[in-house]
Amino acid sequence: MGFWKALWAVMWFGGLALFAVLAVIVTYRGALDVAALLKRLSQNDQG
Amino acid sequence: MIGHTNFSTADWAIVVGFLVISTGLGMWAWRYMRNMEAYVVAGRAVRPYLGVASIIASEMGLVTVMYSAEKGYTTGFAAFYLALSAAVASLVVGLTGFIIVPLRARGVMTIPEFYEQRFGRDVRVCGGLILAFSGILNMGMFLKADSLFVTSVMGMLSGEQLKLAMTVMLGLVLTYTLLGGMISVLITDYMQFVIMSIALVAVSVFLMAQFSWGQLVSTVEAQKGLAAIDPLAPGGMGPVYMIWMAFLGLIGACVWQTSVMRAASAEDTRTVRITFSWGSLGFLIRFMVPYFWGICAFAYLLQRPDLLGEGVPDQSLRAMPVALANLLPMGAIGVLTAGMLAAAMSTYNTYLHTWSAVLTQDLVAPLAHRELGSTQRIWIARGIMLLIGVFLLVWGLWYPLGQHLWDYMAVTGAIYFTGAFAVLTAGLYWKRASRVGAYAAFACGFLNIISLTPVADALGIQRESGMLYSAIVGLSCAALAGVAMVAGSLLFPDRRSDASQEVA
Repeated sequence: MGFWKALWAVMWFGGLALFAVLAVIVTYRGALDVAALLKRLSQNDQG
Repeated sequence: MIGHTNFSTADWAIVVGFLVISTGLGMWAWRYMRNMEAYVVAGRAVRPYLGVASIIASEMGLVTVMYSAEKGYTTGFAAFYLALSAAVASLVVGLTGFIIVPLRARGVMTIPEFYEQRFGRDVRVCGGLILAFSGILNMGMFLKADSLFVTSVMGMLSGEQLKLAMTVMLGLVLTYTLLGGMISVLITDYMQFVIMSIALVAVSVFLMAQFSWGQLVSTVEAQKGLAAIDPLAPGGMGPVYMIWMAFLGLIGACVWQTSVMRAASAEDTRTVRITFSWGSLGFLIRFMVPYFWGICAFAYLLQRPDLLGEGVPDQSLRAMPVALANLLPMGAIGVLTAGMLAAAMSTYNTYLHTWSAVLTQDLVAPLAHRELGSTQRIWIARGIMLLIGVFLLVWGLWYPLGQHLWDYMAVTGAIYFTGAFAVLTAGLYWKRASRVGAYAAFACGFLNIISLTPVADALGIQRESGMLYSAIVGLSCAALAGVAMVAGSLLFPDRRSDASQEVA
């Protein structure tokens, strides 16, 4: 019982904190990837 | 009929603003769509971080939030096990590249396309038909569950308001997905990822300030017993259901077409691995956060049972939105609703796009008497998408659910993936896999249909626990499909020229 309570607590607090960090990184780097995708599609179109 | 809610004019402004920008952005992407490859897999030009944003946004739909919150509300903390198994499975798939990397390396756009490469055109058509049938059935409850969220948050409790909400949501998503294809999906997914992430983290932090962790654990334990904490406790999930859920986690990551579509769109196999490894955190969050919200709703509604409304149907599904609409302050509900609409729309566009692409590429095109051009295929895909939209509206209003939404989702998905898992694994990693084996595996997987409540009732099958019944049927069908694949391949091998095809 104690094991499950501890596991769920670690998962909740650790998972949420990690996700918050990941979200910030993906937001920034993802914007660069969107720009790169549109640039590549435009080039393909011209080619 | 209007229930109590803190939803205000400011919240309306936030939601309408989000809808206008999101739909406009999706339609703007139309200008980049020139051929079928751009339409289906965005010209295979997706880099890792956009891939991660897209997989998290599309796999975390509002329907996921709804069925997970219902699971948290009814099952308590034990439901966290499902989140853990999904995250571990996605991480394993990302690290090993199991199924997804060889599929990407073969350059296929859809799973049935691989069936044709490996087994022949007839297997592609059969596999594509089962995949689309299962996928569209699986999607059948999305619209209703999502509209239940929106109407509950806004305090609208009548059936007419629910129907109106369903129609408006569907119309908006159809508009931009029809026009822009995968490019629209990716760009709107990115924007929706950003808004959804803010809403998920902010609302969770707000709820943690309202309910302490210790208070929630003791309330759930006192009201629901040990099984709400320990999944192995008597009366809890039990080992069979837990194994079934672990299997579902694996399938969700590597066999489900919407995930595979992400792999197909990736720039290279390295991007595929990164997307799925980092995406595992998304798989954890997409279940765990709504479980927590459902548990908070349970604790809150114990004190305010009147808020659910006497005699209003779907109480366990409505619990989370009703609780949040009364807990969150004005403005924050608007951000939450915009975030959840973002989650809903990113999932709709992905699923609508996926199933229409599968039907066009794997059913209509192979059966057509002549080669179809890119423009023709795009118009066929759009027509199919429109028909799927009409089906969603009708099915969402008519189908009697009769089981937890999560279990409905698992069963409808299992109709396809239990057979497909055997066919894909054997097709990719075993030289002797044959088309007879593939047909036998598909047939065994299709047997999962007896887990749907109306089908089980029609067959007169007695079952004490719906959860355990669907787990036993699902695992049995998966094992049967594996045996059928091996036996069919050994007993009826393909002719030498077919069998000599390369395996990954």
